[in-house]
Amino acid sequence: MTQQELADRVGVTRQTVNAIEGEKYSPTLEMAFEIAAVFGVPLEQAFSYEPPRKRKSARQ
Amino acid sequence: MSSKPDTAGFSFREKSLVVTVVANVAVYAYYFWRAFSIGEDNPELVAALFMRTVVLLVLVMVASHSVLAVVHRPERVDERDRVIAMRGTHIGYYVLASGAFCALVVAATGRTFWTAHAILAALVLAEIAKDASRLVYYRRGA
Repeated sequence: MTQQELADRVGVTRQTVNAIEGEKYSPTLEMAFEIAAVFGVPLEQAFSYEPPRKRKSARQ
Repeated sequence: MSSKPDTAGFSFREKSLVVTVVANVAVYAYYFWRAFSIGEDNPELVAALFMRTVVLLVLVMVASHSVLAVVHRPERVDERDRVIAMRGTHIGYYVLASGAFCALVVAATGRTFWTAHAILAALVLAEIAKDASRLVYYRRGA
């Protein structure tokens, strides 16, 4: 599935899908559920959460 | 998903922000330069210059956005656009509040010309800060 196809199905712009993929934007819970529903998977399978402190230490 | 992250391509909204920031900076830089050259002794000339500046800015914005809309189809507005707009407005507010404080200080001198221009500068800088910060959020993430 292309970013444009996913964007059209969720009702956002391709740039927003791109930003989510590139970890430049965290979607609202509602959009996250919609994206997971498009892929037919539970939320925790479509998204993962890393606390900011962990993300920082992972980069170092 | 099959696409790779965007690093170079600008969306319609980002291009629109670039055009708006450049137009505001260029047109108002010209206005302030001309207005300060004229000075406070000729308020009619400054008022006429201001009217011309506003018309010029409107024409530049309409023309540039018409061209943009032809070459780049405008996208829909989604939640990310609204979040970025909100953050940009937040930054613009601080600039406006600082400018308003400066304008109050200038107003204490009792000089209408400088007070009016301090208020105008605050409004213009706040607008530029709002749009420029939105552009940064679009490029670096919100």
